[in-house]
Amino acid sequence: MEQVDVLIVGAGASAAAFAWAMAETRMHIVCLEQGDWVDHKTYPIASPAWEARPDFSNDPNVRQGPADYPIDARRSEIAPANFNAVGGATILYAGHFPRFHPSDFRVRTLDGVADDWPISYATLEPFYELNERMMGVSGLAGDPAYPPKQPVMPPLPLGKSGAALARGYNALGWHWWPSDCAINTVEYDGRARCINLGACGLGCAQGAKASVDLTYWPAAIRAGVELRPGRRVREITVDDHGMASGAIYHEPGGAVRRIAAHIVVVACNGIGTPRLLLNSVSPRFPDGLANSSGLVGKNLMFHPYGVVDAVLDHALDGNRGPYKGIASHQFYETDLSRGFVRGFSFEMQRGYGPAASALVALQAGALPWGAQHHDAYRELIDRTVSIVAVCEDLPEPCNEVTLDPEQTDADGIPGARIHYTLSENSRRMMDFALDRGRELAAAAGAVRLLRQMGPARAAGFHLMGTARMGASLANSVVNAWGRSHDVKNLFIIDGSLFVTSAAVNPTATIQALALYIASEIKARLSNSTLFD
Amino acid sequence: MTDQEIQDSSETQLIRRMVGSLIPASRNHGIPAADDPLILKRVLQAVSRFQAPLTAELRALAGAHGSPEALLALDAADFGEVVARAVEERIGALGILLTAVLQAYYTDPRVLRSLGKSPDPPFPHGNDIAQGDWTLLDPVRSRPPLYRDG
Ligand SMILES: Cc1cc2nc3c(=O)[nH]c(=O)nc-3n(C[C@H](O)[C@H](O)[C@H](O)COP(=O)(O)OP(=O)(O)OC[C@H]3O[C@@H](n4cnc5c(N)ncnc54)[C@H](O)[C@@H]3O)c2cc1C
Repeated sequence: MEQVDVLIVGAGASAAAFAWAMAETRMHIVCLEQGDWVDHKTYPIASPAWEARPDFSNDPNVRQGPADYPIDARRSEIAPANFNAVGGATILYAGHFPRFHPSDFRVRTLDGVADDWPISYATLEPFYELNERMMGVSGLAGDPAYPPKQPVMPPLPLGKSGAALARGYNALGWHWWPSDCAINTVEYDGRARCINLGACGLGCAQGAKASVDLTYWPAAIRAGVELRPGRRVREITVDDHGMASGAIYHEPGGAVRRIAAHIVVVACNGIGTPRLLLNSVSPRFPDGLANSSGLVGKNLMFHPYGVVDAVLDHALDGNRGPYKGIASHQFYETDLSRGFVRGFSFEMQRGYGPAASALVALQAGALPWGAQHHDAYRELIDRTVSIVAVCEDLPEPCNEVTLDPEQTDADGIPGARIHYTLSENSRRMMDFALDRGRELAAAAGAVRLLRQMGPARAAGFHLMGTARMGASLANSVVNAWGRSHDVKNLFIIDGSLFVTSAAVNPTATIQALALYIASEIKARLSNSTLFD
Repeated sequence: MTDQEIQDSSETQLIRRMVGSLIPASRNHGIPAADDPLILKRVLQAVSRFQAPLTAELRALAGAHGSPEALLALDAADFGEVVARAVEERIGALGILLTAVLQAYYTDPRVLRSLGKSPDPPFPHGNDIAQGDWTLLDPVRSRPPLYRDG
């Protein structure tokens, strides 16, 4: 049987950062990824009818590609989105790249809810910085919503959509700032600058958006890491001492292989990770690997998204330009007079392409059929900008990922099932956020509102909390540096680790955590305390 | 099923009539209806993955009128009303069809041209957008910090 030093499962955002950071150890590092490399020239945006490509849907149940596994979301108010390939969900992500706030790591101390993280903003700060350099993050220094930080390149253009919302924010006296985005505004590290293709969520054919197949993976592979696509891990194996011994996986075509490893690292995202751990049962771990706390799969958090589509009386950017541009943290920190604890951010969705505009209007019930269809549509196209609230979700044990007793993937491995209901706090926050969104739309000069909805069902982009970190087995699956409490050579490095979700997109924090965990592992390897 | 059989099936005839009634041609804008053969072909391709639930839905709709033939025999105004009501009441099941129609219609080169948009894919040419007026940020720059220390 093949023996390696480090086995990483999954090749998305967290795995890529981790693999690159570990490469300097010169250990034999192998990453198994169920999906393939994606050729950027085949992205929808490089072909006609680019808006009608189900193979690039972010819903795995629509895609149903060979790398996908079924996720039964019928019992969930929010449907999860993902992408299974080298690069993981960064292939389709919007590249919005904010850091968490310092207060996000201290929610129990500051606000009396959930749990504090076992690490602080200060712990992650150097890794945020390193990650922003590796990914290439555009933005603007001086944001009063954050401690000082220095983006590596200038911000994305405001455009007409951004300027319209900025005027609205100013009229209300609310905070806004150019978003930190992992999108090149200048040529950076051999990757071209953004040319405003306007379809970040369908893959960036220009390569200006920092998906990790373009950033970390080439560097990690150059440094000696072996990435093997098309390999789906079925189960992590354990030895008689209760240590992880490697994995059983499927080769392309289905043949089953074993691989042995001294260290096993799981990086399959907030649903894939608990799915793999729960599928890894053995006499010693009958309830799934690393699950003596019973918390594997529990506390699933999304960011419930609230959407207010504002229609203005003049042309905006439409689908020209990156999705994101500016964001507001006016309502980020707790203010109990609002009727809920914690908060939300607003981000901008710049506009939509011709087909997406029609679908948005359909969803809003604003698209008549028959003779009036054409004129009604033409009043909306290119005049809509979306105000999107990203609400902080708090952990609830009843929101969970379990194995699906009915559906399997193409290799016969049980899929995932999720149960998820919005908490009372999140619901109150959502109502408040939608009210503020309407207020902002009016201040920005909206002549009409389209969708006003929350939680947006199809917006399960961020999957967090299902193998949380913490000080003890009583309240967590892994310790403060990602090592399983139960299995001392098993690490988790993706958003499953999150103790709470904060109110911004998670990937900057996921990758900073992965770099931090790699750094802790390297330090403990050098003084031989890694498995203590 | 052969292509011809699919073309001729009563469900396909129903779909053709429905999509033509949902998005009719516009002489004003110089654009075809959604039952234009090129657009319809793409609609049928897109819904073929969801054949079973859609067929069931169409059969139920036709059944409520006696038979597919009876439904198809309605005149344009009556048929339009039936479709409009069905779309309103059964949006869940017919959503697959509506999504496919809008995606096929609004990616059709003729329709895109009439909207003043290029039918070419955005890559590799890209688009220009205005940088915007960054002085708008001045009032925010002067705000005190609004984050809490951790
Ligand atoms: C449409 C969309 C938009 C988004 N926009 C943003 C945004 O603007 N900003 C932001 O911060 N975040 C965004 N996200 C979320 C972001 O993409 C994720 O947070 C991030 O990619 C998570 O990194 P990860 O390493 O945990 O998982 P992923 O990047 O998803 O990688 C996990 C990988 O593991 C593989 N895998 C899973 N199970 C197995 C197995 N058993 N065997 C082998 N391989 C396996 C998968 O195939 C996948 O490639 C978005 C996501 C989506 C879907």
